[in-house]
Amino acid sequence: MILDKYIDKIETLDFQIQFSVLSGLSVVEFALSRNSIVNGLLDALHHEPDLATDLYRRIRYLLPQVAQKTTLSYDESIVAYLYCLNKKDLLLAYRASAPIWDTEGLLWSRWLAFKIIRLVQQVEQSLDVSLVDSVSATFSITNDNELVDTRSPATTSKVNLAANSDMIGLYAFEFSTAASEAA
Amino acid sequence: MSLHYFDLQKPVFARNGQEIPQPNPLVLQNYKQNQELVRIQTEALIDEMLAKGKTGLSIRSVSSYLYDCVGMVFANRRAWIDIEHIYEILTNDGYHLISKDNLVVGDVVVYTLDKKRVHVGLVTRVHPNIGSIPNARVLSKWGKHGEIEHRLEDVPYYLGHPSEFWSERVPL
Repeated sequence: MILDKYIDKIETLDFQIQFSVLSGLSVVEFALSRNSIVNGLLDALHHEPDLATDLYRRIRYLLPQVAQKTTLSYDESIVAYLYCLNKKDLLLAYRASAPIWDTEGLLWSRWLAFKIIRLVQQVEQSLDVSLVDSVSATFSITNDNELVDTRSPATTSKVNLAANSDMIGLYAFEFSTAASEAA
Repeated sequence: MSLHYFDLQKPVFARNGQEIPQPNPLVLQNYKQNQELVRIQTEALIDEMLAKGKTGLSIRSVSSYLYDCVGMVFANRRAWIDIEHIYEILTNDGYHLISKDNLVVGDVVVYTLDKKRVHVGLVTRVHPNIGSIPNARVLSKWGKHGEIEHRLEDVPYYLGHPSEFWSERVPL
C-alpha cells in the first residue's frame, strides 16, 4: 500500500518532535507545508484518489492509540494526516474531525479539527445549504467504517469549493458539471 | 491541586492596554498534560537533539500547565499565545529592535523560518568576548515540551533561526 511508506516516516518519534515544539496551529500548518514527507503524501493523494479513504481509516485506527503513557502521542502524525486530507477532500477531513474532536490527549489535531468543523459549518451557513443536504445530515458511517455520502454532487462541490481555495482547480469541473445537470 | 488552562483562561493585556488574542478555550480544554509525560517527552526530545549534534541543552522545567514560548516570555507562564501575535505584543509593549551585538540578559530573541516568526525566547546569558558575535544563551519553551536553556542557535529546525533581537530597555 502506498500509504505504508508514509506511515513508516510520519508515525516516528523523529517526525513528531519536529512539530511538537511549535507554538500555534498557524506555525504547525506552516511547518507541515514545508515538510518533504508531507508534501510527498500530498502528491500521492493527488495521483491516487483512493488514498484519501485510506488516510481517513488510518486516522480512525490511530485515535484509540493516543495514550498518555508513551513518548509517542501520535498527535503530530494525526495532524499531518488531517492536514493532507483537508487539502484533498475537505468533507472527508470534516468527517475525520468529529472523532478527533472527541479524543483526549490531542492538541494540534483537535485544533485543526476545530478549524475544519468551524469552516464547514460557516460555509454551509453562507451557502444556505438545507438541513436535509447538510454535511452532518447526509454523511454517515456504516458498521464497517465505510463512508456513505448521500449529498448531492452540487452541494458537495459547493461546500468544497467555497471552503478551500486549494481545491478550486480540482472541483471546478465537477461543480460546473453538477450545476448544469441540476439545471 | 492540578490547574488546567481551560479552567483559568483569563484575558492578557499588553502594556498599552490592548488585549492579546488567545486560542479559543474549546480547543485546549481536552488537552490536559501529565507532568511525568511532559518530562519523558522532553527528555526524548533532548536525546534526539543530542543525536543531531546539538549539545549544551538543559531542561529548566517541565509543567503540566499549558503555556507556550510567548506565554513564558510575556505572560509569566500563564497563557498559550499563538506566535503569530508576537509582533503586535512587542510593539504594544514598547519593545524596539536592537542589534545582536547589543544583547544583554533579559532581551528577547525572535526566531524566524523563511521570514515567518515562529519562536521567541529570553536571553539568559551573554558572553560578548567570543569574537564579534555574542555567545548568548536563551531560555525558551518548546511547544508542548518543557523550558529549555540553549545556545542562541541551537533550536529544532522548525523553530527557525535567531533573526530579530528586541529590548524594552531605554537609555539611562
